[in-house]
Amino acid sequence: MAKEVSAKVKLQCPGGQATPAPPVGPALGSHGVNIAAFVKEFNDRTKNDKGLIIPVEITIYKDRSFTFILKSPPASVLLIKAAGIEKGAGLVGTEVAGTVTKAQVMEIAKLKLKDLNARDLDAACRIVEGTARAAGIKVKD
Amino acid sequence: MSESTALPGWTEILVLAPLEWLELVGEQICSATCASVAYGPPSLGTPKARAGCDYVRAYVIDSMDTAAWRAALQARVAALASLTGAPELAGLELRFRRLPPEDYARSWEKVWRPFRVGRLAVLRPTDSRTPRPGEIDLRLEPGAVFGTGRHATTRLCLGLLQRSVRAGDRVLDAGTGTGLLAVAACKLGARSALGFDIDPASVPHARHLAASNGCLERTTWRCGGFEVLTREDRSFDGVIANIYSDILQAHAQELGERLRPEGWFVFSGVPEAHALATRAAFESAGLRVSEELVRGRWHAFAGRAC
Repeated sequence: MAKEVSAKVKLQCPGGQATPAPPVGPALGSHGVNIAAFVKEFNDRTKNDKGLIIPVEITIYKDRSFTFILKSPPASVLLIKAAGIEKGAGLVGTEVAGTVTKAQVMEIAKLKLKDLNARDLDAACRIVEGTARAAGIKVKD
Repeated sequence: MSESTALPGWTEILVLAPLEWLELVGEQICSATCASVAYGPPSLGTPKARAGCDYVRAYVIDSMDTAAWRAALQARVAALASLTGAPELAGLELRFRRLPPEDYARSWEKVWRPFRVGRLAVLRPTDSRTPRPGEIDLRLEPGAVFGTGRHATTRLCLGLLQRSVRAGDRVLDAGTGTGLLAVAACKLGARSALGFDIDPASVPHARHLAASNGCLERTTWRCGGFEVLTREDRSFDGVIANIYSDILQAHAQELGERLRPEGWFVFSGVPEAHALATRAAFESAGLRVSEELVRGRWHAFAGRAC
């Protein structure tokens, strides 16, 4: 039968390591969802990306059942991977943690376009470049 | 020490940020004690965000929420505009709110209440209440697949099953979801129940439900559509289907063929607008409707194979 949607909730949680603690608890608890059931299913589906931050969109129905879809990893995670480094700079602004090319920025922007709320690819590139600078990753031509 | 005092309190950090930059702002306000963030208003009563913006929320265990920590966080967010070269990130305001300790893993139990349909009492696994005389208890933990069992169509089916199931029946449940209706049939006396569903999450949930209601041995669960039924899966005493009405119509013939002569059926999932056409499809397939119940805009049908 047709299920009526009650709410859509967007979260970012570490793969395989989500817990019922905030933000999962308050975000889903207010809709009466069985949080432990969500956590179990999310961790099961993301067990191969343990610790990687994964955006997830949860659709909650009026009968308090839910479905969820996993989205593309955050731009910063993709930038760190593209730069071949472990993490961003500790002292942003003075320290350069790594370097990525404009072409790599473009690739990440294409991948993230539909999840970034950006109006077009240029706007997505600007966001990815800004994210790189905020992580101490230099963008070169 | 009580359970609630052992749980930590949390501080919520709330920022209204431009839509394009939500992800980056979220990362900046994450803490060492909570790497997750949420997007959207913090509660159902929060005013809608202004156009082009949305709320970002992160959390920190309140023992870490100190004045120095807040100042460092504010400095990090204030630096974003110059670091990114995005002037729209200037002047982001952080709001802090303390949340009391709560056992979120069990918070659904506050809004989920046990309910009865005829002799069946649908209870939480943790409910200690003993069944009243003549009452049959069904233990349900809501999950992803179908929620709480409170949907009108589920309740209609639970009511009709009590008038249909006889001791020793073999029952088929098409589109079983949580397995609730198949398990209810077992609790009402069915000898066995076979449930199938195209949703891969259904089988583990249904198996768990059957186990927690003491009837795992009497149930069989399969993942898939009608193609998972074999030649041997026929002559059932009863068939249940609480599914979309277009699927009921398309498979009415097959559902009927799985029944023994004079076997019973309970079908639901039919909205008002499709009730007449769906009933006609049943009757064309040789299924005689003897009872049609309505709850809200939903219809359910019971009857027997000719």
